[in-house]
Amino acid sequence: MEVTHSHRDKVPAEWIRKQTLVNAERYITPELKEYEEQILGAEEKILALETKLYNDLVYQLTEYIKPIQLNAQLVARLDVLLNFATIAIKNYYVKPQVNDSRVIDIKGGRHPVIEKNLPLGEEYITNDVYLDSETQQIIIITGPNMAGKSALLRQTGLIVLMAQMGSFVPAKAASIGLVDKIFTRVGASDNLSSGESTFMVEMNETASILNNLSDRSLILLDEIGRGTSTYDGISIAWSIAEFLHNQPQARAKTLFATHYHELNELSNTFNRIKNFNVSVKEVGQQIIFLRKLVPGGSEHSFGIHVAKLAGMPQKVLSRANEILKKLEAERTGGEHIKESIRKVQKQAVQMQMFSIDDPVLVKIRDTLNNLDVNTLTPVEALMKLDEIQRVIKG
Amino acid sequence: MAKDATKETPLMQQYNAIKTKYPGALLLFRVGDFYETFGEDAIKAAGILGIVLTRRANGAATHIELAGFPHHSLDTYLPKLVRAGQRVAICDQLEDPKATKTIVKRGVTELVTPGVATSDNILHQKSNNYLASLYYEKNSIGIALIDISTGEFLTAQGSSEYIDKLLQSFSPSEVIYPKSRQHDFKNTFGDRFYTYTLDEWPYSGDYSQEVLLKHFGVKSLKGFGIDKLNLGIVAAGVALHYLNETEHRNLQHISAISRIEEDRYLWLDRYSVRNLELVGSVNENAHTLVEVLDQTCSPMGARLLRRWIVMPLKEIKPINDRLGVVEFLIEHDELSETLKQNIRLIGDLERLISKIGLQKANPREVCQLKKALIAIDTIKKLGETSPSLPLQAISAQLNPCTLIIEKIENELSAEPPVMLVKGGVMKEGISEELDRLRKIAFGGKGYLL
Repeated sequence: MEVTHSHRDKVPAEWIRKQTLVNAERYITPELKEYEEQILGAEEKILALETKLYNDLVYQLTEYIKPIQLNAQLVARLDVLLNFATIAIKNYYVKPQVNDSRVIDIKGGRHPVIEKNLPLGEEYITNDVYLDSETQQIIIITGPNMAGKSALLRQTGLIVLMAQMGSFVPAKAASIGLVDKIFTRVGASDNLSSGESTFMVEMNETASILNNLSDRSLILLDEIGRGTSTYDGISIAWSIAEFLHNQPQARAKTLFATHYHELNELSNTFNRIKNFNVSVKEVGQQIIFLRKLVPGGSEHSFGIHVAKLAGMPQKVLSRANEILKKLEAERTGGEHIKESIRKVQKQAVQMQMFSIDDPVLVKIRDTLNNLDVNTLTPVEALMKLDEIQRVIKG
Repeated sequence: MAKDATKETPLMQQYNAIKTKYPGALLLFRVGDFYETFGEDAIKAAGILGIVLTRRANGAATHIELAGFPHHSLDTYLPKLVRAGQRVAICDQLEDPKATKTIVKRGVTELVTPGVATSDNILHQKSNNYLASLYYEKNSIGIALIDISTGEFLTAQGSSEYIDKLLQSFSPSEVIYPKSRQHDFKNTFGDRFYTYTLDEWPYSGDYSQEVLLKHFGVKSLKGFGIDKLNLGIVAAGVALHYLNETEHRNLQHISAISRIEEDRYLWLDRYSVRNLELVGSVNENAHTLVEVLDQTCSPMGARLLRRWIVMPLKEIKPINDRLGVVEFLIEHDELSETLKQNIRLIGDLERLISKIGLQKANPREVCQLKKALIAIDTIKKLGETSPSLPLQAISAQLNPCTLIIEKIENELSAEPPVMLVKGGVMKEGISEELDRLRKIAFGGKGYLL
């Protein structure tokens, strides 16, 4: 309470002087002082009490953790399904037919991510992909780099994945025979930093695919065999394709993008391997990427054209063209390697007679193992040889 | 050495005693209004946080480095330390300094590691934050994944390739495993993960199984379908043990554990997740599938979407069930819009209820819980009356917990503050004592007159 100096003598004795100002004095009574203490005390008590009441409330809520967690899971599920509906409308997706056939039939397929990130005015070029286990199990896709081979592989994988996730897909129509495994191999090296060569890493990874195949697998191979010499690369890619074709228990559907157009030879020997290429149009010295998948192998690699697009100096390009013509002439029009491949294919048939799990070999091995050379007489040895020869002749 | 010990201040003695209990962790030591770091910790903290490094006398003739920050800046600095890969032990004053004549009692209230984080500032809304625990035996590996911020707890076991695939898909922010297996781990999984190795003893005998049984309050793990996964069980028990070791005791929100059913999902090999650029890519700037697909209305939906992307289904019926619902929702856009609006009101219910379990929820969050449950009630009614059987099924299982809605409505004030200490949290009329005290404190003038 404030009292001006003029009234100072009227102040009762109990009042305690608290503060002196220019014109007045401020006093507090014992009752007021007590009251002030009560207020401060109350504030502390309020905090303590509110904290206790609040914690009690929260504690009671903990009884409901399980049902609320279930609610959260259900709402999340609903949210994702609503989300699928939203994007289906927004991005023009279509309902896929998921069945238990062995056919993957995509019409007008698009890459869901790339199509959203194209420069203004550019439209994504759609493609059809058909794979089954009877007529077209393995598709070899050739064509220049940058022509869209990788995108095609990935969009096929993504469309299958989206369908089996319960979402609509970026295509005009899609009929998906259930896939149980997806394997991808993209030629880029992942473990260079750990000291392994690209090729070594690739072989490890590809081996793991071949060892884990199933009948409903989808395999996407992008530029296998790139990290090594041409002959090695072609040989390995070729034998992988053959392996995939010849598994009676597991006719895994495969898209095999490669720059080795020599692999187009495979379709002559194996009836479920088909060639396609990503079409490119040569207009004089220029090339235009049409990005359409069309049947048939491709003749050239167009590597030099791509170099031109990358901005290589003209001198380098003209010289490259000269060298190319020379090499092609020496290779008798590219027939050299293909001829070798055909020869090797014939040998492969013979080689199969001596495969490692051939029961004949096993029998011979067992027979030899059971011989005790120290106690064999010469006659007995000759008789054993005869026996073995008969086993071989069958 | 003894001579130095007697010259150490009581504060430093206390500090050192606590420090030895948490090796490998950066210790934030609460002194008054500040969190202080000493010695090596101070040097590290100063470097990571950009705070000033000073020195202070420590007994006779020696000095010790010192760096600190005000306690209310913890939420700013803690995430930076964790993101820099530090394990951080937070040591608070356990009693009121005014209440004691000797040195105030202190203890570590939380050990924060990258895989065991509950603070919103460290977590990303749209993704889970998993701790992965591995256990090796001959050629198989058991794995457990636990997200303390959502309560999810999963386990599996299999070949190292399968485990690699799971690690790719779930992308844990921390992996723990037995010290003795360091060589194997680095060979198989490289340096991709933040790791921490543990001693052998929690992995041996029945310890881990006991931990699990005790936590869930059950006699057998059969109910969870994991009793045959003996490697997974060990990994899971050790994961829980690790949470306890990091001072996280209120773990009721981890209410179940489930098996990752390998045979229900389309197998994506370990490179496919990366090569198809599903959720992340080798390229930092690459666009991913999840970016294009994510138009969810809640963080829980965003997290579930990521799960569905890396684990597509392998059975025709459930796939067609989902497709059927999507088709229905497309055809009924009005209903869909209303449902979406309501889901937006729910927010991150999963993390919210976990915070309540951890007893770290603030009053505003409890109020949000009420709003979420009200929205769930609306959704339930919408779904029940819709012509879609699956929607009806979802609605049937929703539980708006009306008792809770009422309770919060009655007891908590309508617009509570974020911080409890600000007051005005509880409503009038629920406690006579509180009302009386409030009248005194705030009705001052009226009382006087």
